[in-house]
Amino acid sequence: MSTVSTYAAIEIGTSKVVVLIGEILDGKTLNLLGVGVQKSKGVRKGKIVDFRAASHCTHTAILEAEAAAGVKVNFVFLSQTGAHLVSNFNKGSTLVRSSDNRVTKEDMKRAISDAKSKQLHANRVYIHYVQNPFYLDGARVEDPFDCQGDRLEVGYLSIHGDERTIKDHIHVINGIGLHVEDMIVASVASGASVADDSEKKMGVLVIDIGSGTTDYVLYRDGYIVKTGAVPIGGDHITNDLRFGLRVDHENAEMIKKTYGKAIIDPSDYDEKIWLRADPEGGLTIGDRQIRKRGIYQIVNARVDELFTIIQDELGGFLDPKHIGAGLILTGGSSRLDGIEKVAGSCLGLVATKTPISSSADPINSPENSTVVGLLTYALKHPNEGKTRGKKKSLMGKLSTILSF
Amino acid sequence: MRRLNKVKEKHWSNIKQDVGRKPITFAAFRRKIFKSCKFGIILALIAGFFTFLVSGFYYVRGHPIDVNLSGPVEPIQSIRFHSDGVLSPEWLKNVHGIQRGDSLMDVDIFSLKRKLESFGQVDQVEVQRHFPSTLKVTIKELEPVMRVRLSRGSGFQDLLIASEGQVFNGFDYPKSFLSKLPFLATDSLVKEGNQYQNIKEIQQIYPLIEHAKRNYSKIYSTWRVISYKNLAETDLGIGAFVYVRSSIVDKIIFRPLDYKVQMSRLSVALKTTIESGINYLGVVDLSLKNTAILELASR
Repeated sequence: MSTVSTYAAIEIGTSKVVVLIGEILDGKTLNLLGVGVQKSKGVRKGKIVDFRAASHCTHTAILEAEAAAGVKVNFVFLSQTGAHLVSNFNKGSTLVRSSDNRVTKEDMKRAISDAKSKQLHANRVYIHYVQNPFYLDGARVEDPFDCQGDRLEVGYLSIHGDERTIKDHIHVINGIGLHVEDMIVASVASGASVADDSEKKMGVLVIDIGSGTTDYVLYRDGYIVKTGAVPIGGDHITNDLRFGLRVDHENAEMIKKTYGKAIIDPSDYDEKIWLRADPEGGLTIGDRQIRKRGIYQIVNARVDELFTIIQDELGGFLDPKHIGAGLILTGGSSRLDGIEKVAGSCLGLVATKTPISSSADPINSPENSTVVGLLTYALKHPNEGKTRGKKKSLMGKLSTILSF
Repeated sequence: MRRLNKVKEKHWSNIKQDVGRKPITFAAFRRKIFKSCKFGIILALIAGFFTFLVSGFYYVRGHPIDVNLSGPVEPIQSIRFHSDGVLSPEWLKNVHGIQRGDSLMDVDIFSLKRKLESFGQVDQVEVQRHFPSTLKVTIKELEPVMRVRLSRGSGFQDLLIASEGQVFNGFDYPKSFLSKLPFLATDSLVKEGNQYQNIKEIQQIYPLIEHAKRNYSKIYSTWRVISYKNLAETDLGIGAFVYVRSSIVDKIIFRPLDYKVQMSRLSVALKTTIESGINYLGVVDLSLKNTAILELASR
C-alpha cells in the first residue's frame, strides 16, 4: 500500500513569496501539485520588517497554492535566507579507547558530540548540522566503525541564524494554522535542486542570486563544506540603475530586464536607447537617450562586487582543483546576460546557468530553484526533519487523520 | 551529556510554535473558518452515524424480526421413540399432544422436554428434530429398587422408589417385576404438591440391595420388607440400623456400613442353619463388629 504525504515548500523572499505544494509517494517520487506566487511585502534582505504585510502575502500565496493543488496542506518546509545566516565548520576529535584500537560506535558518538558542542551566542539558533567524512589518523574513511587507529576526527558544518528572525518566519506560517515541519537554508535547498550527485562529488559551487540576497553553497566530495548569504541581489542592481540613470524604480527594473548585461559588451555598447517617462506610451517632453555602455557599466560594477564578496567569503575553500564541476548560477538575477562570464572570471571557475524553461512553467524557472529544492531536499533526506519525527498527541494524530 | 542538552536547546526545532493563534490576515481567517466548518461537519457525521446505530438498535429491540432459519419443512411423518425402561411409544402418544399435520418447527421441543420430564418415572429426556419430518425422543427412566404401599380408603396404592430415593407412580411395569421388589416400611413419606419428597435414607440402603441382588440373588429373593432406624443421623456408626424381613428370617439387622462382610456372614449363617435342618430364624443380628447373633424362632 503506497503512502502519500502532502507537503508545502514556502520561500518568503524579498521580491516574492512562493508556495509550492507537492506530494511524496512512498518516500521516493515527488509530484508537484500546485504553486502560489505573491509579490512580497514587509520583507527586506530575508528579514521580516512588517509582520502583518508579510503574513498577508504569505497566507494569500498558501491559499492560492492550495486552490491550485486541490488539497489542504499538512506539512510545511520553510526556507531561510539572509545575511543573519552563518556557517561554521567545527571539528570534533577523540582518541580511540578500545584496547585493540578498533573504532567503536561510542568513539564515533564522542567525536560527533565534540564537533556539535560548540557554544552559540544567546540569540543564535542552529538550523542545520551537516556531517562531513570521518578522518582516522588523518586518513579519510567513509565508515570508521571497527577500523584500527588512534585518533578519530569528524567535521560538522553547522549553520545557525538569528533566533528572532527565524521566530518571525515561523510565526508567519503559524498564523495560518500550519506547523513548520522542517527548515532548510535557501542555499542548501538550491544546491539540492540544481546540482546532481555526480557534480557534488566532483565539487561544485551553487550561487542563487535572489532579489535581496545571494545564497551560495560549496560542495566537495559530495559534502557541503561552506554556505552563506550575501545581502546583495537583483534589487541592488535595479537601485543602482535607478540612481545612476535617474529613472524611477519601474523603469530601472524594465531596463535591467530588457537591456541589462553583466559584461561590458563592445558589440553594442555604443547603441542608444530611449529613457521614457512612460515606457508603454510614445515619446514625451523630458525623454532622453543614453548609451548602453552606461547600463552595462552600472550592472557590471555591482555584479563584480557581488562575486568579489563571495570570493572573499569562500577564501581558501575556493580551490578550482577541488571544484571540478565548476559554478552553477541560479535565482532570478541569474537571467542577466553575461553574468556567468563575470562570475567565471572573478571566481576562476567554469560557470554555467541553470537552463531557463521556454515555457511559462514556474517550476522550471531559476527564480524557483530554492522552493523546488526544499521539496527535493525533503525527498532526499526523509529523516532529517527536526520535527517530523516528533510524537504527536492524540488530538494531533486525530487532526492529521481528519486533515483539519 | 549536560553540554549536549544545552546544544539541543539551541536548535530551531525547539522554538515553540503557536498554531492556534488568532488569525491576523483575511486568508488565515478564511482557512480557519473552513477548518472549523470541516471539523463541525465531520463531528456531525460521526454523531449522526452513532445516532443511527443507537436508534437502529432500539428499533430492532422493540420490533423483533422473525428469522426463519429452518429451511423447507414438511409435516411430521414419524416420531422415533427410545427408552431404556418400560415406557412405550403408546405412552408417548398419550402425552406429547402433537397434532396431525404439525411440522417440526411447530413443535416446541423445549416445552415438550419439560412436559415429559414432569412425569415421575422419567429421569432425562432428549428431543431432536431430524429434518425434514422426523422427531426423535430419547428417554432415560428411573430404576425402581423398592416399593412403598399407601392405604387409600378401603384399598391401597403402591408407589415405587428409585435408587436415589425418588418416589414415583410406576407405569407399564409388569406385575411379575413389581412383585419381586421388597417393600419399604417408612413413616417419612412427605407429599409436596402432587409429588413426594425424595427419601434420603434410600441412598444408604441402596448399596445393600444392589450388592444382595448381584451376589446373593437367592437370599435377596426372600426379602419382603425393609425398614431402617436413625439413618438420617450423620454419625452412622451409632444406633443406625437397616432391618430386613424375609421369608426365612423374621428380622435381619444390618448396620449401614460394610455390607459386603455382613452379607457374607448372613450367607454363611443361613447355609449353616439350613444344613442343620432349621428353616426359619427369628433374628440374625449382623450389626456387631465381629460376630453374628442368630436367634431361633418357631413358626
